[in-house]
Amino acid sequence: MFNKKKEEYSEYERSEPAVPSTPDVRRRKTSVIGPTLKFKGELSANEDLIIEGEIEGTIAHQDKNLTVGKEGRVRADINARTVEIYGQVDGDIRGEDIVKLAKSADVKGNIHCARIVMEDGAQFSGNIEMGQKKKPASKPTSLPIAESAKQAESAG
Amino acid sequence: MPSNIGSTVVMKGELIVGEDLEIEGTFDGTIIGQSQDTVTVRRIAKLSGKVSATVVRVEDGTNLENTVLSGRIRLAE
Repeated sequence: MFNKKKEEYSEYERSEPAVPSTPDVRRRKTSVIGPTLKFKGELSANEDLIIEGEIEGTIAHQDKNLTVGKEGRVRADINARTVEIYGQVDGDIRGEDIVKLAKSADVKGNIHCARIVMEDGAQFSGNIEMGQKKKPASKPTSLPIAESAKQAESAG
Repeated sequence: MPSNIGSTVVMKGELIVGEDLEIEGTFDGTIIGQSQDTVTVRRIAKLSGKVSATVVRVEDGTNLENTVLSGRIRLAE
């Protein structure tokens, strides 16, 4: 039961070194903002992103995973499918699927997500709003009751 | 630890870096390399603005329209 929670964080923490080397990054289609990198402005991406540096401005991330590493410092609103925070974030976080705050996380801002995992020790100041993501309307696969009853009668 | 800006990444603003940096995405603004590291611009990258670093490595065929490079410029196959 207790091991399950650790597994939630294992992907980032298991990788040695913490940020994958360039060949791995290419294979996995992941961008890495390294620890000495400072960026001020607008950032958007449609691939997984690991932030170990400093970002200030806006992050418009589409439908992919975003990780703020232990060295990462973000002063921006974050929008992504899955958001994992190990470092510092000053801004609102919107996770379409899940938001995970590790024990080293320090977040100041509001979180909007479908699911949240907060590890013991994580620092958080703000509001959490949870809502199911809207599923697209799909056609019913089963026949209406009256029609299926008629079919059953005729069959036998 | 190298930084990598992937092909779907679009950045607009000022970037200061103290490690190797590889750009495959779109960057509009200023890139300043602060140490002896290399900024590599891949062929598929779309740059606009200024890149200043000790070594700027540019892949053959890269479109550098509206881009100013400064430092030791190396053209790579």
